[in-house]
Amino acid sequence: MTDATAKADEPLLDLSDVSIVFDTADGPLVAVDQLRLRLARGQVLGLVGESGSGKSLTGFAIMGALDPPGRVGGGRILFDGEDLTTLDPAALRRLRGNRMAMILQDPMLTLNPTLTIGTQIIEAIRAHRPVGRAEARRLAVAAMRRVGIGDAEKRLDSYPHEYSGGMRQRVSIAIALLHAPDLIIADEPTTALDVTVQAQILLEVRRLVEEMGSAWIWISHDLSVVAGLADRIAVMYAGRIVEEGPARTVLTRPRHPYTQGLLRSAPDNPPLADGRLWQIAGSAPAIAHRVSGCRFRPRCPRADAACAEPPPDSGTTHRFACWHPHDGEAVR
Amino acid sequence: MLEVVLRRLVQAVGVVFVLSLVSFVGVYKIGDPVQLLAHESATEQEIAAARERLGLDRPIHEQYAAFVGRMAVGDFGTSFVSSRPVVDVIVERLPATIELTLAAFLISVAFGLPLGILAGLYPQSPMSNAIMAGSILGFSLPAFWFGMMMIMLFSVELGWLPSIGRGETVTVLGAQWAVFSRDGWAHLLMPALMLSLTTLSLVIRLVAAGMREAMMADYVKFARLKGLSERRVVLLHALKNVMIPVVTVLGLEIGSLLAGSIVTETVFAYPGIGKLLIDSINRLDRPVIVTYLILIVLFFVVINLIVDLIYTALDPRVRDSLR
Repeated sequence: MTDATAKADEPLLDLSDVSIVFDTADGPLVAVDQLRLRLARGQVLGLVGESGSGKSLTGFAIMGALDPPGRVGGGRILFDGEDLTTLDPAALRRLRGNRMAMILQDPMLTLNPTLTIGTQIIEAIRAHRPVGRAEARRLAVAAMRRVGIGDAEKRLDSYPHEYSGGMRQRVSIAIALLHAPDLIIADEPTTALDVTVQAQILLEVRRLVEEMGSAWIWISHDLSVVAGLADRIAVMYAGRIVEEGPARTVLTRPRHPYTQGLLRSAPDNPPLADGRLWQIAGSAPAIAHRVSGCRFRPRCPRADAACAEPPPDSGTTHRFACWHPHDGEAVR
Repeated sequence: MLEVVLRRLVQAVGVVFVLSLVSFVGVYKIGDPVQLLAHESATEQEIAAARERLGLDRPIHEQYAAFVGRMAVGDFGTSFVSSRPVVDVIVERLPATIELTLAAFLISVAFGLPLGILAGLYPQSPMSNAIMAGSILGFSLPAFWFGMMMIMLFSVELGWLPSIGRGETVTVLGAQWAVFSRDGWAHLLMPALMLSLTTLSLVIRLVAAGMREAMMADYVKFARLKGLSERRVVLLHALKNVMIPVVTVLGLEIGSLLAGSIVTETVFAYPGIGKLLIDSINRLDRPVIVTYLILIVLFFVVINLIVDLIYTALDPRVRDSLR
């Protein structure tokens, strides 16, 4: 076996037992733990969960950009075989925006209001490529055209407030794509947009995914958004991955009661007898109120005494952490 | 833009009018300058003659009308005390105050910005706590006390710095400047430090608070995610946003520096226009007082205009709203 084929077999991203910890005055708070995740080259992973489940933190942790007092508390984050948790800040900086990129949720807040769009694209080009201003400008125009911004030459000198939300998100996507990264982490990039704009951007992204061959982690709380994009889906609950597998399987034959609950709560389900939509009882716990064992058990209809112990991780390509999983019957 | 400038000028004329009226009447009510000026042995006739010469025998509204009439053609009158044109008296003292205010302003910015940035970037560090505690002291201590303590330490105890006056001056462009001589610098240092105290503290706190907020903003996160150097993230992306409110406040602070110069110049017997104002008030030298105030108003108008221009350069959203 040659080195090249060995590399092709090895996953692009391999997280094992990663935890994310916040150092507070009352001691460390564990926001995310026991995180296991693998991503092959060119694969699209949908990372799904409620607010506070730790999905965005996971994205920032991979990028090595957790804001203090947050930090990676343990585990390994292998990116192309290299453990990111052991890299020094300068080496991480060379990777960020270059071989891995991230797009944030709210396009109104992502771009700096005091700098022109051109400046913000050009600085991202020149951070990783020793090109002159003129060449960088030409590349910036090309980058804007790629995400469907017309009249790019002129719009380069505009400020973010002269752009609509959808346009701004296109700019962030253009910036993320600049150096054809191996990995793009998209943190709910369509959540803050109008539904029509959302659809356009999703279409655009789907085209770009195919065109670029980058691997994507698409973070979302909306299963329906992820359904159309992802090869695999990981579901997070209260800082842990509770189920992970091929997108179709997870969406149609979920094993974990939480995933099942999410699918049943989608508004396209038929309403209940009283005309209301089904919903998971209760709400996601704050970090300090997470229970031992299975963290979903206070809200789970299947929970019993066994669930006070940490659930085992079952399955191989379709993993789930539950004492009483569904038997994999099709839900729709 | 032109419209903004014109509007400002019209406002300025209104303010000058009201202010001159108030100060004119105010000083008139306080007392009779002739009584203060006249020699102890002056006779009734001599006093009456002086009053007539200064135009103080006429009713107040006539005096004011005469004053406005002269001012309209650029004549601000003659000092009661020195019998010299008021403009000459003020212009002669102006360089001292310009030096002092500018020095205090530069100290505030040159130290306030970096200290504020450091305190904002590392809010948990002991260094940051020390900077923030220091800035609270700077706010709370009366500046004149700080000035007197400096005099006690550096002039009386150590004998390093002079405590009085401006020192040696050099004539440049027809005015006397102390900053061109070593002796002038020695005289300027302590007054400038005292005057900068509150502004420096204010800049530190503003920049630190703004920095802390900006570092949590999404655009800073995104700048970092692009792989930019931390230096560029902080000094361009964060700082440019932090500077928008800071510039506004700095503009206003030039005003309080001028006001503060009155106290500072008094503490250090520093011959600027602040000291001139206090001396003039003590002697009820009305032409000087009123002219000083008008000068300050005009100065404020110019400063505010400059602040607006800088603001426009910093914040593209403001630029658009002016179009």
